[in-house]
Amino acid sequence: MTPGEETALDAARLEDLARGALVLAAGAEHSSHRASLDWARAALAEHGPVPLIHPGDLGSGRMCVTVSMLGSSAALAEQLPTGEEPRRAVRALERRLGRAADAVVPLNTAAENALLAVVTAASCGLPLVDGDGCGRVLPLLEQTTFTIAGVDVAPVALATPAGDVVVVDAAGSRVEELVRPLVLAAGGWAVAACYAMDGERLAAAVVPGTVSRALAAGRPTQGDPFTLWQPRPRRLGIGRITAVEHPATPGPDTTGGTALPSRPTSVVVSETEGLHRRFRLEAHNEALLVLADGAPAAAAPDQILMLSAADQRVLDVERALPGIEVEIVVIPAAPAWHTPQGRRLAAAGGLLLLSPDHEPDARQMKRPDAERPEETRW
Amino acid sequence: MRLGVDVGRVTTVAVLVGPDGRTVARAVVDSVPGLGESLRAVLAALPGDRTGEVDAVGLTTDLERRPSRLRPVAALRIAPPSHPSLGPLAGWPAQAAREVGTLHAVVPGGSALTGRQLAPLDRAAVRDFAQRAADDGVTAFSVAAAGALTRPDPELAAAEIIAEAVPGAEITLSHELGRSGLRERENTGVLNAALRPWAARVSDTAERALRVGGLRAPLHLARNTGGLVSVAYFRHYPVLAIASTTASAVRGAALAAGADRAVVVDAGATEFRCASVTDGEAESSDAGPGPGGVDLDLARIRTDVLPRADLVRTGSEQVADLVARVRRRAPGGVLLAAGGDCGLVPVRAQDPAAAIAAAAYGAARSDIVAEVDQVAVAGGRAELDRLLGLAGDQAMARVVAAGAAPATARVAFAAHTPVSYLPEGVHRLRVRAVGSPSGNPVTPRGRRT
Repeated sequence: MTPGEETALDAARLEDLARGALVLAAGAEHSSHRASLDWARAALAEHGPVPLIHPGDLGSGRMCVTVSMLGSSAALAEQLPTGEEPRRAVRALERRLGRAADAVVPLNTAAENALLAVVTAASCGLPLVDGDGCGRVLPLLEQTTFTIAGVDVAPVALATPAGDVVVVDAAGSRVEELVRPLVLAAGGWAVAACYAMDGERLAAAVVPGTVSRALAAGRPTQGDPFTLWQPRPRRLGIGRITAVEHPATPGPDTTGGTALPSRPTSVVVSETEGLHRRFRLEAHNEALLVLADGAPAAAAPDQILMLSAADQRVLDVERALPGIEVEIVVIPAAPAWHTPQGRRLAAAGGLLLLSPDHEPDARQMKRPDAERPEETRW
Repeated sequence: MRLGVDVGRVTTVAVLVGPDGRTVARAVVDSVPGLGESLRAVLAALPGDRTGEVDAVGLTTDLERRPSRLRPVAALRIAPPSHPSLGPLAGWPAQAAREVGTLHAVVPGGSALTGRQLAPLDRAAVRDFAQRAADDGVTAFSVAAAGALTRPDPELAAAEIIAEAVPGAEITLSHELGRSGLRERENTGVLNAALRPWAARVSDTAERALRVGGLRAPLHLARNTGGLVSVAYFRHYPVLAIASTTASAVRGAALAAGADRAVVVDAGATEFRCASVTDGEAESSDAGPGPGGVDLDLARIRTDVLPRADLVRTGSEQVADLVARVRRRAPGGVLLAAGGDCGLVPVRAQDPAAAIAAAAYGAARSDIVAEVDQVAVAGGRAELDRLLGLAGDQAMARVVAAGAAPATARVAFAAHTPVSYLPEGVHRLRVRAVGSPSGNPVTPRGRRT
């Protein structure tokens, strides 16, 4: 789809979306992805295709609601959805706000979240917005371009597979703390409806076109998964993994309750062509920094991916092994993530190892578009 | 001495392997439709009469060679209600679904992945379901509970109720076979229950043929990822060993070459299969469709396939591409040939007779392997270590049950990985134990002097 073109997400496109949504979620759990896909197939079969709407075409006076799965996809694979969760969450939010939703927005378009948004739109009879609140994946509910644009995440309506509905109304920074124990008590996962906002406001805050680009990435004929990605991903180089290092013991949890379990990993890649550089990827859940011969070459919040040279599929950091041939690709984060506020927000929740407190200096501030020099400061 | 036998679609191969790993004798005959006939023919063709020295037999399996009908199974799920598209047997391909039948139920119970109980087990509902199955003449049961890898108790309790209500019931419990993900684990269990008659047939036929051939040594079946299990274990858990020829061939080729890392091209009758070996283990893939197109979460060997029908001219370029693809995933290994006609550059077997025997050799050289998959909820490092220790004990018990000599059983691999987006302390545990076949080296009475 090109922007502005009317289109609908039907059964065939759903399969493309399911494949394309894995680009941003290399470590996705097969079982929960499969369950979400079967659920979405059933939802489309029951309610018909979902209209896909460009954010710019929404206009003011239309309320958009963002949906996301919260918690663990492995938990969803054990305690399967009843099918009622998305509608219950949206209805609860509507009741709290006293007005009806007009469109559904994915929080991100990775793995189950892309499919959940389709289920929600289908079962509520609403169009799906072609865009999301992240442009990549970050672990916390408040880590969105919506937050950067000043849109409140709250009120958040949660619907659990046990049939519970909880509406949380709190300051943005407290939402995560309040919601996590609720999700845990519910068995490990829930559906959230949040970030209610006007269509015009959404158009300014959303990362546009992310559903289309996932659809394009999942089209079976596509060799290159990044055809529709704007800005174009940067290809740093092709090389062989020569070492994968873990610290001897898992580090202590330094960032408090919202930190996610994982262990820091370093992956060394020796470039097999061109400059024969030595890349070092520092990862914690995902790659956060690439050094090329010791000099920073890319850093979060841009997304750093290793593509397996064998099949152009994204290689999860956990599956990186010495000897595997990979291409290192950097997907520039949406511009909002490169503002000082965006960087601070992206660094929340223990995801990022490096100090988020560096403000770009004045010289760099004057030319923010000149190859984004500040990204090397992470 | 061990005997390995591979009944392929075109040829049947038997190999006698000495304790030093050297091939003592080898026989190749054309396969005939019957497993028993093929076995008898190949045993008769083995040169020299050394069958009396054999202390363990390893046999590869290939369910697809003669696909077996699935038997009707009563599929019980212990979990809260879910969306109809996610119910028991939902999404099964039509034929497989027809064969296992429509007898299934969801009863309240089970736990979340974190171990929190979702509902107490509805024991009366379990009893009713068992009775309904018995009334329909169905005695094969599969039981899958939500959260069973964290808390297997509901599955064990349901099994007790079923056994009491239906004398002679054969019950498969999901936590003994499958991994995380209720639906795939349930599918794996249902398929296992449905395949037991096939396993019984294969076991009876093979044991009879071995006896006719003068062999008293215990029979083992090769697992889908390589390694062996005893025939008794196979009768209970057939799904672990439904297609083991390729894994045996790949590991056998690497073992014969003494290679820890290898890329192996296994030339079958209709296709070339290429797979890698790292640290002596074949690369495996977990999820995906299994027999009958049913979605499973079951460790299998990962292969890249090139059908012979797709070959252009000699096909050598395509084979080179196939190898290059696998090599990019697992570089650094030597290139080895297994199977029949590998006469395609660049994969030429140095010893064609050894190549065709790779699967039989792999089955002969393999150890008993058993795995345990669990989810542990641990308050701290000490508790996690304790739970890992318990999982190790279970894996040891399982490998002995699978036919390993107790003195040789050991934990070969143990890993714990935290489950993302859950509080610290929820870990996936995976433990693999190995051991030598217990063998009970029998001196047949007739040969005693």
